[in-house]
Amino acid sequence: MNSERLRRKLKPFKDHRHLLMMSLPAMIKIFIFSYLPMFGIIMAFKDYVPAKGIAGSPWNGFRNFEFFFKSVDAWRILRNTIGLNALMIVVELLAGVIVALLLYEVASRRMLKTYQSVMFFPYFFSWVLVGLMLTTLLNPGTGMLTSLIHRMTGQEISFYSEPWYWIIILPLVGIWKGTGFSSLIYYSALMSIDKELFEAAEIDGASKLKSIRHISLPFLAPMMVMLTILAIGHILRADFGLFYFVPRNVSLLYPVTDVLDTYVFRALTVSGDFAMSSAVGVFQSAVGFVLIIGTNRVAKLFNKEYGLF
Amino acid sequence: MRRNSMQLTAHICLIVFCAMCLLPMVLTISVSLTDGQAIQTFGYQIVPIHFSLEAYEYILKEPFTLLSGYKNSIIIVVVGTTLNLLITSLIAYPLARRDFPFRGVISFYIFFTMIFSGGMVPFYILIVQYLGWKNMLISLIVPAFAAPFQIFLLRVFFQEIPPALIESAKIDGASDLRTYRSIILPLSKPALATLALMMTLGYWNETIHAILFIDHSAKYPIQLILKNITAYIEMMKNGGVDPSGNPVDPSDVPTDAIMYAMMVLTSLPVMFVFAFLQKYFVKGMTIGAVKG
Repeated sequence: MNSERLRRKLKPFKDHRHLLMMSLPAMIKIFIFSYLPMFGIIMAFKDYVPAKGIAGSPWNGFRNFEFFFKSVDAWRILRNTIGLNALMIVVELLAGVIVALLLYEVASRRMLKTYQSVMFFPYFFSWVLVGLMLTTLLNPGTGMLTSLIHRMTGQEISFYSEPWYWIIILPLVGIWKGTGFSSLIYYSALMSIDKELFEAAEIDGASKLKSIRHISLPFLAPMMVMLTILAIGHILRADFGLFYFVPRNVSLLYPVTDVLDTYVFRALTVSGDFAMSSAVGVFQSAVGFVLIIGTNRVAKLFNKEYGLF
Repeated sequence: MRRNSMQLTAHICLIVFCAMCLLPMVLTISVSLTDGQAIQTFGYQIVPIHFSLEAYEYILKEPFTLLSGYKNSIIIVVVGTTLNLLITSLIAYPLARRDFPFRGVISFYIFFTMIFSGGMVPFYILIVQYLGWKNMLISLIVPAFAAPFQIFLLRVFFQEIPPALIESAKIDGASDLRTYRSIILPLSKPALATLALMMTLGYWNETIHAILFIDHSAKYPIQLILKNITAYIEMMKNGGVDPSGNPVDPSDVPTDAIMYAMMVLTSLPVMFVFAFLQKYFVKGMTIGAVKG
């Protein structure tokens, strides 16, 4: 009787043993590299001593968190992370939509493909390379932009020691690298609009700008809302490469360019302060988790279809 | 009339934007081909003023670091992409099967890691202390396996294969593994190519883990070679000392051209390959973006 019930329970496992076996390698990998480190979260509540391991180190409650939030770094890093990410969400959205609208105006198929290919090119560069390439423009003395400014105004701007310029430079680099891709998403959405709508608008005497405002933009709006909401869910996770390699980890620029991810990374590679940086990491993961769940809810409020899950 | 002027504006804006996309790369190539003295006098120019191959000769005189970087990165890309493609497609297939009762549970198991993580510190300790992978290329290969986004992307492709095909294979007595090998994989070649390209790009450009886990210069992948050699050159140029603190002979101080030639040699050949294969990329990415 009992073994009969057991057999019935195990039947789906037996029937699908091949499919289960096929899933196993990936599941084991994910367990080791994603789930095991989650137990490492307890590190944030311990005074970590490498020699004693995670389990052996003494507990110290919330002291690591206290230490971070009372430090002068905390305010600066949170401000940079949230402020710059918010700015970049907005400008990258605008750039993607504007470029997509411009591409939609291009009638010649060959020109369209050329533009798209060229704009996609920076997408393939590594962030190290992007950071180095930027010096062709910004290097003191020889850089193209610095010498242009020097010739026009007589001013020598030293971009790698003046943090405030980076509030503009970082989003611009983000646009430069990402617009080829983001415009593609909006462009493929525009392609699905019924062309007759535009023809009808034209016959009614609507100007091009008017038909963009009343046909194209309302059509793109759901996607814009969805992608923005999802981006807000990730606002504590900065694009590490952009913030680390593009300002070339110059300490003079930290007042603007230092964000949570670069801070944790430096703690690991330079200072070796594992306890505090794991506290920062836990804060980032926990708040990030709440934000993602929250923004997904909000997305669903707009429309059931918008949510990711 | 108005229609034409609108088109013209679009073309002008796009041409300017495209020029901006190419400018840093054009400048990099141009500076690498300019004589060191001319750079000091005229700054960086779009067209080399005094053409010179000096910088390339300087680097290619001793190309060993560069070659070892290429070697390590090629090992990572080939081994990594092959195994990753296998593992990712193996799990994507069951998840695409509507009659697989565990697909919900397993999907959630994968998805959860997209929204919550233990953070960088425990991950670092896992690799270095528990697995002992410091200075091993495997530390740059395995962590990229079975990326949730790529599993779900491939699942979307697999779901487009008509279930009737799988049914008829089943009736003919083929096992699930057999169906995967002889029906699913051959039919998904374009999707697998797209994914392989994404994985290759990821492995090739990966730098963060390399900084964390690789200290031995013989094990450096190409991005780390690029990062460290350019830092080394700048140090000699600006400080007049080499990394061990010894003063550099003024006649031996490397020029900007060498730094930029290094960038060209480490990156551009591969970048052109990617640009050439771009259309596979674009196709996969747009599908992935619509339903992640």
